[in-house]
Formats: sequence, structure tokens, C-alpha cells
Amino acid sequence: MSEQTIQIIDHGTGGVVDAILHDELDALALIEAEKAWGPYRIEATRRLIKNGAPPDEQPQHWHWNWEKKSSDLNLLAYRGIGIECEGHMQGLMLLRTAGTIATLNPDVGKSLVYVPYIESAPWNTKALEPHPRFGGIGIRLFEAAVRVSMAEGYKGRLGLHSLPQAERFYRDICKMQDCGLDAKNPENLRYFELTHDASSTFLKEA
Amino acid sequence: MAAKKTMTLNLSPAEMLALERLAEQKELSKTAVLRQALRLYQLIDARLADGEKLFFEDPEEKKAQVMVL
Repeated sequence: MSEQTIQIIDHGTGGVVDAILHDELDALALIEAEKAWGPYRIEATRRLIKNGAPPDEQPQHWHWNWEKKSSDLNLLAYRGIGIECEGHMQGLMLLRTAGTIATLNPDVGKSLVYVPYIESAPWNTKALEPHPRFGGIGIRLFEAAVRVSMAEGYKGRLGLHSLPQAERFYRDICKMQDCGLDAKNPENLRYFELTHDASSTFLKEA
Repeated sequence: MAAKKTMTLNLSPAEMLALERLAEQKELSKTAVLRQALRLYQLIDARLADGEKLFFEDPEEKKAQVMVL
């Protein structure tokens, strides 16, 4: 497992704080993170529902479970990435580095890194926590995914299906192109893709 | 990143040509093509071992099961 120091936002002080980016997590790391995240996520969702939050304000990923995804890391095609700060995982991402190709010109047919799951810890998520602990987690994970794509020779190309609540983040912040609803996606989610050119723009601004 | 190991690969001229063409088409190094092939092979093998099936789908959405591995 390799690691590097990055910086994330500490909402407690308004400044930045050092964190560790782990770019080769093992299955155990996902299981350990879920032990802390799962109960927090479910309790926060339960509280929202009890307080009468409308469905579109309830987190759409409340049922995610990283422990169930951990076995994917036994396969070479998958890679786990995480951001750790103050001894806890603050964000997790699963990547698949084989089996997905680009759909947008001029990259059609070229390999890309697909992002099956990306999540900030529930205490960093505005939808779950009125006063999030840390910020900038999603963008740092996304940047790590672009860098993995570069290292794999895929020139920064990425693809993912977004939950509706995250679409604006991928479109406006991450510079991904909205390819529309994917009828073949089991949840009928919109598919987003980052081209080689857009990845260069994103990295310059990151 | 774990240290990488080096191996010598013996390919026939046809196999080398196929590898070179794939590398050119995909704009990848030959090593990257082979690495991706290994990842896919393992992924498909694991899913088939779990009882899943692999299909290719034609544009008219007629499915045909293919035998792999």
C-alpha cells in the first residue's frame, strides 16, 4: 500500500490540514472503514427521515456498504483508494482499470478508468451532517482517479454513473461530459465521461 | 506501489503483430495491453467461476452466449 501527503479542508478551523492518500487499499481497509461509516450513515439517514426531510434531501447512497465491495479488491482489475486523517478514513473510492472504453470523440474505443463507487465519510457529507468535519474529499479522490488513469496510460480518461445528487459536482467541478441517462444501467443513472483533453484542464485547475 | 518483476515473453510473429496493432489502436504500450488483458482474464474467470455468464450483444440486441477461457 503506497501513500502520499495531501491537504484537505478542516471545517473546524477553516484552514487546511494534512491527510494521507492511500492509493492501494486492501479489502481489510474497506471493512474497517465500513464499521465506522455504516452505523453513522444509517443513523443520520434515520434522523433525517424522522425530522421530515423530503425524499430528494435524503442521501441516495444511504444503503452503500463498503464491506460488500471489499472482495473486488482481490481482483487485479480493481483498486481501492482512500483519504485518511486523524486516524480515520475520510473518503473512499473504488476504481476498475480494465474492461471499460471511452464513448466520446476523439477517445472512442480507448481504455479508461471506471469509478464504480466514490464516497466521503458520512460525517463529511452535507446531506447527512449539518456541520461536516472535513471538506475537499471528493475532489481530491477524483484527482487521484485522474492520476491513476494517467499512470495506466489511459491519459486521464474516466467514466462513471452518477447518483442524481452528485451530477452537478461531476459536470461543473470535475469537467466531465454528461452523456445522458444510460438505459443499460441497472439504476438508470446518467453516465459521465472525462476525456483526455478535459482531464488536462481539470488537473491544471485542481 | 509494489516493486514490479520482469519476465521474458516469447511470442510468434503473428502474436507480436496482434500485440503491436492493439497497442497502436488503443494508444497503449505493449506492457499496458498485456497488463489489461491479464486483469480482464482474471475478472472474467472469477465471474464465470461464480456462475455468471458472459455475453456479446449485437446492435440489434440479439444476445449470443460465447464460450471463453
